[in-house]
Amino acid sequence: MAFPGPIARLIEELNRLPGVGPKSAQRLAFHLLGRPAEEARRLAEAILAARERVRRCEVCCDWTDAPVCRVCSDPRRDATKICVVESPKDVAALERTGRYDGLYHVLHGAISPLSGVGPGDVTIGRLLERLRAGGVQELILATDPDVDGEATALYLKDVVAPLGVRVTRLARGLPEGGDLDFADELTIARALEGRREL
Amino acid sequence: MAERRLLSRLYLRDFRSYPRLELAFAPGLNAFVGPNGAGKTNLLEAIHYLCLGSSFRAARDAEAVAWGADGFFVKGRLRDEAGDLDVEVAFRPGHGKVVRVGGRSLGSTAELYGTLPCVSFRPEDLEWAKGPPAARRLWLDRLLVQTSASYRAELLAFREALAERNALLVRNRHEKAARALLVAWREAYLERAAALAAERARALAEIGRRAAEELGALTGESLALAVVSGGEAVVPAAGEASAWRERYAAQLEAVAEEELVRGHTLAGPHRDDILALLDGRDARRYASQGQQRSLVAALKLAEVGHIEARLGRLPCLLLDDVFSELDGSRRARLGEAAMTRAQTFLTAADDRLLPEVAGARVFDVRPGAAQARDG
Ligand SMILES: Nc1ncnc2c1ncn2[C@@H]1O[C@H](COP(=O)(O)OP(=O)(O)OP(=O)(O)O)[C@@H](O)[C@H]1O
Ligand SMILES: [Mg+2]
Ligand SMILES: [Zn+2]
Repeated sequence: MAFPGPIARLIEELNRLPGVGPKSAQRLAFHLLGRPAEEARRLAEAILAARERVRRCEVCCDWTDAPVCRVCSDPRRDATKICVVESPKDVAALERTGRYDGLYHVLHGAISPLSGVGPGDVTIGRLLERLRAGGVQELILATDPDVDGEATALYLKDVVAPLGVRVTRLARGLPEGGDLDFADELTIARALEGRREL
Repeated sequence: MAERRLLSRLYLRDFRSYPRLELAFAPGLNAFVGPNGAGKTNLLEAIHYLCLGSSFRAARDAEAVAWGADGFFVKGRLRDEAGDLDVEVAFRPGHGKVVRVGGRSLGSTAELYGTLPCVSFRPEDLEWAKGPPAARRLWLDRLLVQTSASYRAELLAFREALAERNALLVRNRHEKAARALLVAWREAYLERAAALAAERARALAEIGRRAAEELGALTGESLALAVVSGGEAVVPAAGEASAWRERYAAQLEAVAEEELVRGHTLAGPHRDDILALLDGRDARRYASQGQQRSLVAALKLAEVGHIEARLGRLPCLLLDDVFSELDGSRRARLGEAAMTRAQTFLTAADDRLLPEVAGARVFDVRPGAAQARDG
């Protein structure tokens, strides 16, 4: 059965979202249509506002609504440490622990030859600039413990070596194949404390 | 006493030669009897789908779709102490395969493994000792994914690392990759390769001990299983990941140039072989027909023992024609050790080839239909 044009279009757009299959897309579309028009407008505006105002932090590449994000511009943060993560979700997960006082660097992905993601497609170049600018003593690699994340960490270790920065890796012990944003706060805090020289 | 999980019913829709079929099984022996081409093996294949989500003979699911149909559906009702559990496998070319357990769709077929463990024994298995290495690797993989969640995880991670590294090697042929990138992927690959090989070696040691016991009882011969890696036999007890890492690193070093040319990873668990030593001699070269048969019977019994020990539950047995190929003692031992305890599905061309087991249910099979005898 084909839906009228505008509904079909809404379902199609929702279906593009990660984790939303055709059935969920339909459910969400019908839900939105069943609510007051005002609600739909608020949602649409929130999406637009976020999309237009949010950009990458000039320093760490995390999402921010200012040129430099809140963590990077906080003078109390320890600027001698940078923790490298794959995505902004991981920053949020580490921040929730309240046990990390250094800075971050968001790669926006991991190296994967199979998906055509090379070192130039993530923010490694920007990270190297930050390290060359000096002042950083420890680079904590917190990429995911999966195959791509491990390889990305190993690659970083190699290209950073000439810069004389201490490189550590989060301790294992995260859930099987688990990403940072799935782990509970205690587990992440332990992984952080148990980090080792790579 | 091991718990049992039985396949109590099977329902097929457009699977191979069956447009539609429903069967109720006995807890012990179920025999499919009929002439060549009647569709006996098709039934075992359907049951294999319920166990591993895939065929034991076709590489592509599409081959199992009844000619002219747009997909197949296999459903089994499992029964154990806890009650009934339905397993469903639905496939449509172009739409992929959906596996459901208890009404819930699984994220991947791997989640099905172990739900209804099985040991299959088919005519090809008689070639175990002399067949290609890939068949022996597949034999071990199919067993271990059913009994070990960590093996499943390691196998998936290894395959991913292998695919990534191969992709890098291929790209590198067109556009030289940075040295650091090649190093990083070699290290990441070695990590997964070593972890998988170590786990595989430990499991093989255990299965080897069981098989040796079985073969000793059958023929009095001694048996040892080993992994052959880089042309060198490795005692499986050497289940240390660090040792495997060193071994594969050395092998990669030796083939480094060739890999860059071929764009393919040339050392790792996917290139290793499994070796059986009968009274100290390589079965690939020296085993007679009869010795090969005894060896396979011993391996099958070892699989049953391994599954029972690991899962606390007996597997079902899928015996395709081979039972009639075994003689006296091998047959008796398989029969008594397994069939009288585990639920068994076997095929035979006619009644004279059936083992005598009380409570057996015989199904007459003809193209497109199968019917239980006596009701
Ligand atoms: N996709 C399919 N659609 C319809 N029929 C099929 C399909 N694949 C196979 N068949 C039929 O199934 C028959 C083979 O069935 P099967 O292998 O189960 O026979 P069998 O009873 O085990 O025979 P044998 O005793 O020779 O081993 C073939 O002769 C073919 O006609
Ligand atoms: Mg057959
Ligand atoms: Zn920032």
